[in-house]
Amino acid sequence: MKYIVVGNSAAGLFAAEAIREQDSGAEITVLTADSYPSYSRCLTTYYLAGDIPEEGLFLRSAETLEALHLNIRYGCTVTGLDPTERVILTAAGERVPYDKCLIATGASAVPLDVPGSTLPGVFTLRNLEDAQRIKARLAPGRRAVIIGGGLVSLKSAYALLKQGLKVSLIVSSGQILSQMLNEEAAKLIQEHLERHGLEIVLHQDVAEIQESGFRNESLRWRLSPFGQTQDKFFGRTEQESGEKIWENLIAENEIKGGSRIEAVRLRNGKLLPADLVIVGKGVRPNIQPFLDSGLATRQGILVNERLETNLPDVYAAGDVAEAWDRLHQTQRLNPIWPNATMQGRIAGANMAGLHLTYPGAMGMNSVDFFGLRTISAGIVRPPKSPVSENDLNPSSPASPILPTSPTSPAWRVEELRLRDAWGRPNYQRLVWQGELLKGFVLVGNTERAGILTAFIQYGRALSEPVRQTLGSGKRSRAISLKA
Amino acid sequence: MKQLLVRSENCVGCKSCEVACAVAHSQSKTLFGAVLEAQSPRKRVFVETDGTVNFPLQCRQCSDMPCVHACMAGAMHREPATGLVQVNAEKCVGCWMCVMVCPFGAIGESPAHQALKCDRCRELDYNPACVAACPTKALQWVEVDRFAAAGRRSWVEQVKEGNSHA
Ligand SMILES: Cc1cc2nc3c(=O)[nH]c(=O)nc-3n(C[C@H](O)[C@H](O)[C@H](O)COP(=O)(O)OP(=O)(O)OC[C@H]3O[C@@H](n4cnc5c(N)ncnc54)[C@H](O)[C@@H]3O)c2cc1C
Repeated sequence: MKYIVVGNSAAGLFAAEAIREQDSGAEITVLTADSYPSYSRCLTTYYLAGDIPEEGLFLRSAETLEALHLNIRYGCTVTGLDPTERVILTAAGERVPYDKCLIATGASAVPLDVPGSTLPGVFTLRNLEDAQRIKARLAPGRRAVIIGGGLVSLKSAYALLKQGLKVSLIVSSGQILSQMLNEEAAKLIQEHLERHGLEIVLHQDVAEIQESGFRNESLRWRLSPFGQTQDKFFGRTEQESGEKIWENLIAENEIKGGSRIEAVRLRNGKLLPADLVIVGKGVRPNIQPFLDSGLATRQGILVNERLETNLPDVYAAGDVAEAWDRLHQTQRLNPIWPNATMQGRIAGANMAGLHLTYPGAMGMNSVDFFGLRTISAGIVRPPKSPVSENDLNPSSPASPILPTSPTSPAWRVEELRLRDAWGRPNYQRLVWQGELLKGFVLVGNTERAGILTAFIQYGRALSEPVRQTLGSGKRSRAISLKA
Repeated sequence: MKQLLVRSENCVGCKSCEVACAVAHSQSKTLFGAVLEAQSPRKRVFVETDGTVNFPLQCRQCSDMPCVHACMAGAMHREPATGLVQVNAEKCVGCWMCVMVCPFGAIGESPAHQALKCDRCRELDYNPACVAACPTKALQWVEVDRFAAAGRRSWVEQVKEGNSHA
């Protein structure tokens, strides 16, 4: 049996491991555009922050990877798939045959479309290479502008703050982390980050990223023979002349960020000085190579409950796939790590002959900024006007379309607002539809997050005592006894 | 393969397991030494009650391993030699994705801000201290059939049954 896995990140790695678990003799080939062994994109911000070294990003040790006996081809870009010939096409012109194939090509960062957005010094963060380039420009006191208010933006902002940069975050909507949090919780995180020095600008967009004319001019001047003489005149030593000056100036310029950008101009005309810009405007599934293969796609590749696509023996998993969403009751993109690994694992097992059913994805995430923890899962904003007034704010982003019918029970939001002894927030929000728990947000104490997640996944009506205990915010691991 | 068998009907809520757990994960491995240690050792088993029933709760070694899938650092992993899900402290960054998905709420935090959970007393050659300490045999360390243990009961069913292979 010839297995081909395209992509060696979360979904690809977990799939390859699952195939190997089922089939010790299988020929497993991994084709990946990456040039590194499987690593965690999610940890690139920890690397930027200086919390972990580059080696800390890799998901498996060399020995563990070795023991899987995978034929991994790095730097191999897949350009197409031919379902009749059952081959994968690569940029190098190869046709790689498969018996079973998994597409786990993930997603790419959406670039910003404003003047100046392709200047050096403007980055997106998706790959280790992006992180390396950004890291080379980090130095205390530098100014960074981060565009977008999503998870990647916030995690990047946090990393740069920890490195001593002055960071501004520009958000189009009226709150940060709008995918993950309701407005009130977002505000708690926002206040906390602002106390740690992050500047957050809401309801604002970037009009232009401006080039540093001055620096270029000054560099050109200083590199000119006349400039060099001037520099000498102003005290540079003889040894530093010629080549040396040239090298120093280049290096100096590099250290200054090699920065060709100088400022970010907002729609309202305001100029924010910037040595570095990170764009976090979301991600887009990498489906382009497969667009004329006959694969059924919407934004992502559509897969069924076995993670199969419409093409025989072709599976898809992870950020590239639109798999079943257990709460929205439809196929949907859910580009988060736990969904990618779980889908990869199930797809791999099924490719190797098992008949596992994917129970469905759901949105969830966990962040910890300067010790303030936040975990949310499921639906954090009910589709209709909830009881809580917080959600009546018209500026909050549109609620997702959810299955509602005249007979379906009403949505209800239940909140607890506490502070700990140090005045730090301890907030809980539960989102109910009738007696079913559909989502939660915890800020501060997140100990009971897993139990709440399990109750959402349980998907059945919860008894009055359980609902009460959950609503009270008490930590009780025994609560499932009452379910 | 040995597994923890929890008989909650035997649990009297004495919390001997909690103490034994903390001691077993201390530097000195003695109660006297443990209380004197700079970093007070942390327990990984929690005796809980719903008012009528007591039971000791710790990592149940779920067969679908939600924590392993959620872990974005590659720290939570299944140990090849024992098949047990363990935390690799060299890799854990404290992102709490595992806490987000553990249906038993069995993952705590170490003094180094890393995920902390029952490791079946790896340092004691997998002789769980809680089992030795339990006066009523609510916790037992027994040989079980792999397949029986891999049953696909939901977490609610597991807890309800009280007797569960973990
Ligand atoms: C900075 C950052 C922080 C994040 N933080 C979190 C977080 O806190 N929590 C969370 O849940 N998620 C987080 N995520 C999202 C998470 O990283 C993704 O959900 C996850 O990586 C998806 O895995 P995947 O395997 O589907 O795809 P990807 O990780 O996108 O990997 C795709 C793979 O396919 C390969 N590939 C792509 N195109 C081709 C091609 N044409 N030919 C060959 N190979 C190709 C790539 O080289 C790569 O190996 C974060 C992401 C980023 C960038």
